Amino acid sequence: MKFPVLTRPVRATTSLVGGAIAVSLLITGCGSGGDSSGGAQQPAGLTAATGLKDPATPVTINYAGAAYAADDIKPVLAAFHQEHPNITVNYQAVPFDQFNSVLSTRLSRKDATLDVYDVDMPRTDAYQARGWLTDLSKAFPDLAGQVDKASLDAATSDGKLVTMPYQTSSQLLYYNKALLKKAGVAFPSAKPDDRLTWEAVTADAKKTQQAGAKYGLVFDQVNRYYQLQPLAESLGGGSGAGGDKNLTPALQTAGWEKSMDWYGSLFKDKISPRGVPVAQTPDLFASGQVAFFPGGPWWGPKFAANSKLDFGVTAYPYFKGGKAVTPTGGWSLGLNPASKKAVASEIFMKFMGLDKGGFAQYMPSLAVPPSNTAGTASFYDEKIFKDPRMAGAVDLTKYELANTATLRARTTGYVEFEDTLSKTFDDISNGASAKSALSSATSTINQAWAKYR
Amino acid sequence: MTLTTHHPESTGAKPPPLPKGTLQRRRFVGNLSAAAIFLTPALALIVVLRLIPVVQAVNDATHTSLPGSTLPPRYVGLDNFTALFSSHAFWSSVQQTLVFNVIVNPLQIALALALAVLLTQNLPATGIWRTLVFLPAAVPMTGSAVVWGIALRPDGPVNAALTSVGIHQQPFLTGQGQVLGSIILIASWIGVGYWMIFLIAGLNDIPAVYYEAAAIDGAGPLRRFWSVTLPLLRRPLLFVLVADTVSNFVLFAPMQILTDGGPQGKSNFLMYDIFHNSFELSDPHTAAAELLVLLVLMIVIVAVQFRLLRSAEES
Repeated sequence: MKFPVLTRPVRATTSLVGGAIAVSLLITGCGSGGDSSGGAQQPAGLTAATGLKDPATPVTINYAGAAYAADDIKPVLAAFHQEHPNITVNYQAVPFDQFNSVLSTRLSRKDATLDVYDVDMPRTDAYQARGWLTDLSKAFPDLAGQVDKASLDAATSDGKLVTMPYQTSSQLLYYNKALLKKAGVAFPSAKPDDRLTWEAVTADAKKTQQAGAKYGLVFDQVNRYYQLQPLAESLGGGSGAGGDKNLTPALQTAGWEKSMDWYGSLFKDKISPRGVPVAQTPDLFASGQVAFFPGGPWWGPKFAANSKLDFGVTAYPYFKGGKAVTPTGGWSLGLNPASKKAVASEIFMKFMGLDKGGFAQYMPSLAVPPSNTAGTASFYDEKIFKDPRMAGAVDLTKYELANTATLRARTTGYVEFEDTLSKTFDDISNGASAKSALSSATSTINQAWAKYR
Repeated sequence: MTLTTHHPESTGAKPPPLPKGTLQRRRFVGNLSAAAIFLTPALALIVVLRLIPVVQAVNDATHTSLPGSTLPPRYVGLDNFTALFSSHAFWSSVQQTLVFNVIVNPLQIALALALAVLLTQNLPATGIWRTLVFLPAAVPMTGSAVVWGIALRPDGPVNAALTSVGIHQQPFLTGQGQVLGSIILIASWIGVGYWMIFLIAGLNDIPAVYYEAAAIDGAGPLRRFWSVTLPLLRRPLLFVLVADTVSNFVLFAPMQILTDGGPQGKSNFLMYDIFHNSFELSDPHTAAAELLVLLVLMIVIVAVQFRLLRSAEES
């Protein structure tokens, strides 16, 4: 899942470096490491969190993150350095689009220079199967009760705690008040009971376009499973994966086909623009070109920063006759089994996820709920939620997390699954029929999953 | 002229007192070690940058493991190739790669040649024109790709220009029928100016007397181009052909940045697919097998081109 990092078009500049590294690595052989020592799952020195002691001499740990830009996480690291003067955290921000590639090259080669890294929650099982994660059950035995249940589930694989969850998420539907007013569309209420249907949103979106809006409805993550899975789930289409260990694609269901037909029609009818990459969609709403924008609360600060943008929020819609489903899940921290600084890493993980409510309290403009239950309370006091344009967002988020939040499919083949679906959503938005795109996705995923079965 | 630079017999001098064979051998050894010293860096680089990676790729291609796994990979012989050859997506990738190259290489070379000929005709401000044509090659490819991506967006400036003259909006990178053409456009915008520079150098090497002689014999401009320019430009042209082919076979940035191989796999060229398998799906073994297929494909095509080069030299 992508979080607020991509407020700038980072992809363009970083892919130069990424591309160069990728090609040079390819040229020097797409090699896997020649290490044959097997999958040691425990770095030396791992201890129960209650017995952790700060190192007597300075230690530096490397943390590769994709959830936050380096500037955004600075206050958190500053607070940590103040509390633990002998540990320095070297934060390496990696753009989300390249994160999996970077982790893959470093972790599969047992690169000991990486200690802690962000884990996108639905990838937990895949990373665990690859031997990239450390069993933390003994280190943090009493996590239950300190973090929300969905986060704890997402951090557990095969009954073992393998990551430290620190952040979860939810979604809202933003609407541009000026554009709605011009089209004579009533502002939707922010109460969960008044949730709009996608059918109603589509009709209203068309009205706003007739009244001059450039686009009626633009999804934040136009091609990501995170935001589009709830469409199919709302119509009872399921998560898309089923069978033994969730290793059988289940995309050719009525729910998936119907919801994807609707999704494709948005682009065919020019309610949504084709060819706009994920990183550029929030700018379309921020610049007042879009009437409805389903997106994360983390865009609130960006939109609110434009004082001329008059917007409101309402609940993530559902399909008529279907049920309300919202995306959720977020980020955890994984400990590289090859790390040689287990204790310092553990202290940092504890700080991020548990100490005094976790990292959230140090983030001045956090708009995504933390996993830590104590931290959640202070999260809802954030400045952004006092902005009148975000009215109702707090109650909505609380409601969705408690009632409608649905995790993404859990499978060891998640990486291939998500990757294929991204391309499938792109194809559907570019005009492929939902039925044929989902059928071709099924065969691609089937082929990729053969090795896991 | 000194003794040391010439063979004793050739100078006609008396053989030195040393036994003949020893001196020869010493010189031979001396020459050999000098050659070795000069060649070592190049050979070492060839081994490190070319041979070892190929051996490693062969090793990777014959092993497998769960994607990204830290466990040691297992030997599977040719299984990775069997899986590739039975995959529809792989063949479609090979097909798209070949179609792309069959179109883009002749097109780029024809355009580069036309521009090179045009810009060696003593036009006013030739230097400025040459610079302008060459400039895209100096911009990093990622930068060009991003700018073209924005330009070709369905709501982008190119479509705005088209609509203003009454032409319907085009899908470009988002249309499965147009994505190949769009990538060819982007690749050529970058490539043409670059290859043009080599051809201009080749054109400037053709002695003017041939043109004068041809003109005296009454040959017109077209005839002079066919009978003088083209035959005498064969070597630089063939160099450009080989180098351009190789660079287009490994073209990767525009797909990684703009299309992710889509829509519907139409821009999923082999090099991009290799990157995708190796880095995005953490499956270096399938990627290595694909890499070897690409390598064989390129070797075959470049071998044919070298044949042409040789026959060009013979003629």
